[in-house]
Amino acid sequence: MIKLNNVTSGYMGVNIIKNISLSFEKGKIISIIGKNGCGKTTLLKTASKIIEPYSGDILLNGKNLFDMTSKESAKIISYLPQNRDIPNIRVYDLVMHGRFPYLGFPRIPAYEDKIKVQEALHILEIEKYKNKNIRELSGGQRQKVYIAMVLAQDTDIVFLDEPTTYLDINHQLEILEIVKDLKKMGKTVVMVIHDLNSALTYSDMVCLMDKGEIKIYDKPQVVYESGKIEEIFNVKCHEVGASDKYEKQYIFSFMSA
Amino acid sequence: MISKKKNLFLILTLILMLITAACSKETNNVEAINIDNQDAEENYYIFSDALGTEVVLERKPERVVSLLGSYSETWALAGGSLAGVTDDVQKEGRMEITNDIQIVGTVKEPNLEGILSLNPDFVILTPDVDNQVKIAETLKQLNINHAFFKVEEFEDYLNMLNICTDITGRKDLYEENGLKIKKDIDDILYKVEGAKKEELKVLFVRAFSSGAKAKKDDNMTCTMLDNLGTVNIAAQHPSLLEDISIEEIIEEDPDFIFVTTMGDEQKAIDALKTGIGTNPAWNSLSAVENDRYIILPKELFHYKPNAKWGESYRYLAEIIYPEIFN
Amino acid sequence: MKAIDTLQKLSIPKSLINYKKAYNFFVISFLLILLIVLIFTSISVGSSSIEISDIFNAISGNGQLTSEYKIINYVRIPRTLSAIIAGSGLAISGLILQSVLNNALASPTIIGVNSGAGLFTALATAFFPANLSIMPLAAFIGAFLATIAVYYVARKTGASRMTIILAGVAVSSLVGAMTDTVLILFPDTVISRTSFIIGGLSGVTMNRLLMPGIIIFFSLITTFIFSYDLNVLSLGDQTSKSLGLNVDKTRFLFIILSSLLSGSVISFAGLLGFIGLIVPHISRLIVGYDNRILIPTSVLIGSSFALFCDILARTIFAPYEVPVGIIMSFLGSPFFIYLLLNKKRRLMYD
Repeated sequence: MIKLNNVTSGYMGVNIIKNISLSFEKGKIISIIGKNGCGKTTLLKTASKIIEPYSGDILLNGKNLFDMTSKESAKIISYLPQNRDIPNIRVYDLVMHGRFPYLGFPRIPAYEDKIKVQEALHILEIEKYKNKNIRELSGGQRQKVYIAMVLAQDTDIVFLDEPTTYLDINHQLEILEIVKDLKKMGKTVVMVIHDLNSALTYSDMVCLMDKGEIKIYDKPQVVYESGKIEEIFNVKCHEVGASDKYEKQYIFSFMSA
Repeated sequence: MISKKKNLFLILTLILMLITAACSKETNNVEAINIDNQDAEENYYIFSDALGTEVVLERKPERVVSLLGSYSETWALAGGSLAGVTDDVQKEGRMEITNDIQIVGTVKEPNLEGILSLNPDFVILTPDVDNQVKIAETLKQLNINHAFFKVEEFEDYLNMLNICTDITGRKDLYEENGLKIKKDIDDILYKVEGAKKEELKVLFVRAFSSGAKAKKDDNMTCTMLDNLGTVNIAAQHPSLLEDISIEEIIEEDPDFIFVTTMGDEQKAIDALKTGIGTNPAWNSLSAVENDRYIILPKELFHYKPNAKWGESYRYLAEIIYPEIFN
Repeated sequence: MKAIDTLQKLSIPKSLINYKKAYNFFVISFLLILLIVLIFTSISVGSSSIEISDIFNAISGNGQLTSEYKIINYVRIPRTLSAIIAGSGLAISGLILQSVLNNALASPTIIGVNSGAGLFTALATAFFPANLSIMPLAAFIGAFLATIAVYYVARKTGASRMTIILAGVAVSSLVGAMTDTVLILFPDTVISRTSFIIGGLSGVTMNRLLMPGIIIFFSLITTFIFSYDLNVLSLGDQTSKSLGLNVDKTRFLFIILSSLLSGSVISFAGLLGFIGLIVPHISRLIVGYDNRILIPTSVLIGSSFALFCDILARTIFAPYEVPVGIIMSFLGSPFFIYLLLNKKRRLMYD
């Protein structure tokens, strides 16, 4: 479980998030939502050790995250950024990179590493692409490869930055189902997501941010009922259609003046 | 994967072995060569070269390679024979290349293989070219006698001729190609000293196809002009950039303007004509108007004249002091 | 249950993976043979013709101090070694920079190494004109300082990939201007510098080769050992950090290795500029982008190419020598264009 205590963080000396305290509970899916520039990605990056906070500390199962070595923390936390260069690499090799924290010297994958990679490919159903260059895949397939890499990394906590943005609708839903599978495996998933409906329907906890602060951090139902989404995004939000066939969804409409 | 790593390690160790093998063999060779040398009892000739290194010649050199055209000529003037020369000997028109003489590359890039294949026992080099300095290192390892010479002025030529004639044993040639020339020069300067009335102003320009530079000192022609009692206006106006400043020249209005060319002579002259020659201020200079704008021959004023140094002085003296020398 | 499934599935793809391994093995073997052939050619061929029997005598140390013996041991063997060392050093130096900076145009020239070496050499020959043997040391110091300067500037401004390139260009320009100033103030140093600027392998003695050779050898080994980390680095800063790689430290280590390699080469071969840029690309077109195979391939291609060009440089117009850098450009560029047009694989980052 990750706990942030009074964390202030940002870039080039500028504070983006201020005095954030919260914890991500084990085995839950947490969505971070908010308007552009509110600090969602900064929070994600700080919690996942990609950037170092200016003040405050972050405890990982009681230990200070920044006292751990990079390899140690890489076995517990993984982070998938939103924008990535697309390197020239085979699918299999990219997923194998997920085992990097476990590779000793020399960097030769052990039998166990190979098994984990095979498992990851199997679970994501991309075995047939294993020898293909990822540049030849579609955006959705590529995203699955990256998630396979994260899966092979075998971490307790997975941070995803906008995992569904720019994907076709079928791939978006597929990724979200995979997120649910990750939770079933016992992992904690923290994701920044723009799609508010997905955030509310798939998560256990929703963290709504604005201007570098947390406005509300609670179960989706509570967040919906608090009205803060409408307030911050300046939209109207309706809950619809819980029935036998479909879970409830959330519809957003323009707030006319 | 593992076998591939083994392959690579093998390759790398092979390369390492090659390097160490070559290195260790080299030290063996040097020792072998040294032992031969220590048997020699009485040395033929010892002197200090231009870099202050002591050069020990055990016997009279028979197969000499010279890596600078003017030094090749000096060696020949001292009565020596050459086995190998650089190609500037042809370019500067120094001497005929007979069949016994091999060309061993250029001054800037002498061909070490070519030099070694001639089995030389003495190599003459110049320290101004870094490739020659590198070659000297190898010559040293092979214990091949070699010497650096640096000739800028007549005295340097005289010294070099002295050493060379000591080696060849032809002191008569030292007299003919060295001391006699010195006497000629001294005569000319003495006459000038006695008879000249005023200090004339000169400008010395070195032109090449992309521009021209005024020379102050550090140049044999400037030294000659200085010895002949003229004043070099560039020396009066030290500017670091050596670029010709028309204003300064007009201010001084030199009595003579002398030009040597680097590279293609015609191209350099053309560049001058189309460059500064189009400037009306230039054409108003008294030197230009009075036909005292003179292109100097390369063999006397750009390449080291060696035994013709006296001719160079006479050439200038006749132009500058026609009343004394005609 | 899942484990058993995957175990069964493992047996099928093994053949697919081995296909690539077989290809790589073939490539390396071919290149190795090529290199050995070139080594023998380099030793047997030169402006003077030497019998094969004399060559063997010379190498084994049997022959007495004939001129053939001297030529083989004091001209051709050192020259051959210097070509191998220079070629492999520059190739890997460029490969590292292109990988670490994620930029296909990166090379020792871009990051300012060559400019730094040039400046310090100019200063050395200006202030110590008599001591030409100081040049290699000056070159090395200059190369190293320039690299450190670039890296320092990049760190201060955020050390993103683009910043390093810009910092390199800035340092290159500034240092280049300083060098030009030195040349204007001390114009007589030009003579000593011309062969340095063009770059060449003539006149190298084993002495001069020893220290750079050792440094290059160990740098190459180190680079190879960390080649997997270099792969990880190319996934992007954030992904690499997530995977537990210490990105800053790793990048710094590789930049140091790169400047050690190119600085050492510059110290005995001058500013040979072409290999560092082109050889990594050629290698990538043949074996792909995995540094574990790319590095040995580049070492072999770099050495072979340098050796081949050097052989040509000293034999085409014997007894005159063509500067080897010119031959490299003449040969390398068209070949590179040919490869680009004929291969389906694309460059690292188009």
